[in-house]
Amino acid sequence: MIYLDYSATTPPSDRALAAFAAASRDVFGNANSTHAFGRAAEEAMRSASATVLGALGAVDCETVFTSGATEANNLAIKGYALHHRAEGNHLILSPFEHSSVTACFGYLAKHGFEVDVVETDADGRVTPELLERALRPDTILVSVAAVASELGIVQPIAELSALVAARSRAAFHSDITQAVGKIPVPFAGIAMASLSAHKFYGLKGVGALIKRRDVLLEPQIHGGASTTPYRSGTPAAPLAVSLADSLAEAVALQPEHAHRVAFLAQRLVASLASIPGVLVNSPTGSIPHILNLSVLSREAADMVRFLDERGIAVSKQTACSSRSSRSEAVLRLTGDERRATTSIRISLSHLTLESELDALIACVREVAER
Amino acid sequence: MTVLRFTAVWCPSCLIMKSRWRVFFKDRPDFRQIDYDYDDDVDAVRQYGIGDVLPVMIVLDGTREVLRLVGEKTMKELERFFGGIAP
Repeated sequence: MIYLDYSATTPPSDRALAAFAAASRDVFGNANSTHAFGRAAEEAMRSASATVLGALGAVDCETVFTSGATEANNLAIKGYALHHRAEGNHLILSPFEHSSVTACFGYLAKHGFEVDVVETDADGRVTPELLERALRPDTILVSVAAVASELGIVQPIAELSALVAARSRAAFHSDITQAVGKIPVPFAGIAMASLSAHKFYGLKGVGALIKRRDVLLEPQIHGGASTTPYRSGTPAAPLAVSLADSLAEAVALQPEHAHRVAFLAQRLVASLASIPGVLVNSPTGSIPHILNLSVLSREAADMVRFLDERGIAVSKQTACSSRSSRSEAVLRLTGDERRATTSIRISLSHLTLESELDALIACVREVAER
Repeated sequence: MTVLRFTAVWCPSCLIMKSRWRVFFKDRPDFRQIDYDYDDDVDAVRQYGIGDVLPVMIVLDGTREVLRLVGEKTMKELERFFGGIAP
C-alpha cells in the first residue's frame, strides 16, 4: 500500500507514541487535583506548554490544549467573536480555509455577525492591499490559514498580521495546522493560532490553541475549574506531553524534511507535466507537500477509487459539495469547471519513496492516456 | 417576487455569496428574501430539489420558478441574471 495523503493525517512517530506511553504511566494523576499526583500532571502540562511555545517562538502566549484543530478553531473564532461582540460585529476570513474555520464563521453569520470573505490574487493569496480593503472600523476578527489544506497556498501571515495590528482593532487568528513542520510560522503578529498533533506525526485526539495572554475568549466547553479557564474537563496530560514532543521534533527537523519533500515534489511535477490531460491546480508558491492536480479524463471520486484499487491512497476535497466531486476552491482559483470536478490532492512526506511516486505516475498516465 | 436561498454553515461559497447578496439586495426591497439551512431545513431542500452544490438561489414569481443560480456568482453575473426579472 502506498500512502500519499499525509495532509489528511500522518503516522505517529515512535517518539510520539513513547512519550504518550511514558506520560500515561508516570503522570496519570488528574491535573485538576491538588495532591502530589495532580501536581505532577499539572507540571507536565506546564512543561509541555513551555516546549510548544518555545518551539514556535511564541512570546507572551499561553497554550490551551484541545482535542484537535477543529476544537481550537471553534474556541478561537466563536470564543473571540462572542466575547468581543460589543466592540464590533464584522468578521473576515480567507476563501481557502478548512471547513472547521468556515463553519465557525458560518455559524456566527447565522447568529447575526456580518462576515466577509476577503478577495485574493490570481494565485489565491490574500495580499495586504486586499485585506486592508476588507477591514472596517467594526472588524473584530480576521482569520487566514497559514497554508490552505486543499491547494497548499501559502499566505503571507507576517505581513497580514502586521497590517491588522497597525490598521485595525481586530485580532488576527491563523489556522497553522498544515504549516507546522512544513514551513516556519512567523508568530510575531498572531493573536491566536490553531494546530493539531496528528498532522505532524503526533497522536490523534490532541491539538492546541496558542493565544496571546491578553486575548480574552468565551469558553466553548463549560464545566468545573481546570488548568485553563478556557476549557473545562480533566486535562489530557499524556497527550499534551506527546504533542509537545512531536512539535519540537517537527520544528527541529523541518528544514531537512522540507528539503526532501521539495525534491520529491519537483520530481513528481516534472513527470506529470509530460502527461497530456493532467493539470496542476496548486498555484506557484504553494508548499511542495501538497499537490492538487486534475486528470481531466476522470472525475475525482472515480480517480480516488481507481488509485485505491491499485493500492494508492490520495484524497479529493469537496468543501462545498456534500456528495459531488466538484471542488469550489479549485473552481474559484482556476475558473474551470472540469478542473474542479477532477481535482485530487496528493500530499507528500519526507517518508515518501521515489518508487511510490513512480507507481502513482504510472497510474495517472494509464488513466490520462486511455 | 420571492428569493429563496439555500446555504450551509460549512460552505465558503455560501459565505462569499451571503456577503454579495447583502449588497445586491440592499437596493432591491421588492424581493422578499427567505433563507434556508441546507442541513436543518431538510423538507425545503427536498421540496426544491437542491442538489450537491451550494449555495442555491431560487427566484419565484408567485409559485413559479423563474430563476435558479447554483454556486458562486459575481456581482456582474447577478446583475445580468436579474436583468430580465422585474419585480
